[in-house]
Amino acid sequence: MIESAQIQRAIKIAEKRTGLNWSVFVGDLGAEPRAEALNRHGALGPAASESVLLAVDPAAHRLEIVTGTRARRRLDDRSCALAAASMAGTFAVRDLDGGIARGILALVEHARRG
Amino acid sequence: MAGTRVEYRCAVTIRSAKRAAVRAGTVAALTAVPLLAAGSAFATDFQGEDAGPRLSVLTTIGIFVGIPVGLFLVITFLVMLPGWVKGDSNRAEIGWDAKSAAKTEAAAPAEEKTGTEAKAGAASSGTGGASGSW
Repeated sequence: MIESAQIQRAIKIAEKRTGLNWSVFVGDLGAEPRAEALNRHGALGPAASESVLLAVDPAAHRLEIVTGTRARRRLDDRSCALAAASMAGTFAVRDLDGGIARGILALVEHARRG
Repeated sequence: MAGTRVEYRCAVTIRSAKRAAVRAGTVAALTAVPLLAAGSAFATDFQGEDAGPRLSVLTTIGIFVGIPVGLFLVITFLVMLPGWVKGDSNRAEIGWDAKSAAKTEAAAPAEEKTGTEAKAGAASSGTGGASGSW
């Protein structure tokens, strides 16, 4: 359950403007963050193909953005990389909520209309 | 004029007139002092310009080209220095810097790659995205 109003507002905007499903995970991503993020994205079930997952491991200072098969058509990897760089910059100044919200909104700006 | 009496109901009027006179005197004095002091400066034969000694070609080039170019180089060096010392981590993360990407590829096993390589691996399963660290 997301408690940050900032992130909730960003997700609401993102879902309204893109029609994609947006998920945020903050916690331990283990030794292989990418694999763990892919597992968590796959656990979203049938909605995974149209989902975007932002997984952040504050302790390990790692973040992963995973886009489903259909979501990827509208949100390419280059855009995700730009958003990841933006998020990492905000995380570096210890603003976790702001970084996630900013990353979501950056992805929304780059997403093609469905 | 016997029997005529003038009353000033408000004494402030008289004080205001005195105050205005004092103020005018002060302004006149302060204005006059600089003008009087400037008189000695106008007494010289200074015509408003002083060409000074002629500059040589090398000196001119040094002043108008050498100094700006030198400043440009110094500022560029100071800007680039942190990147040379610490490395440009952001570019290494998102895979734009070919040298950093090559270093990452050589140093890390395949599953630990970040940036473009990781995205290419994910593309085979249909999913996409990006990784980052800070």
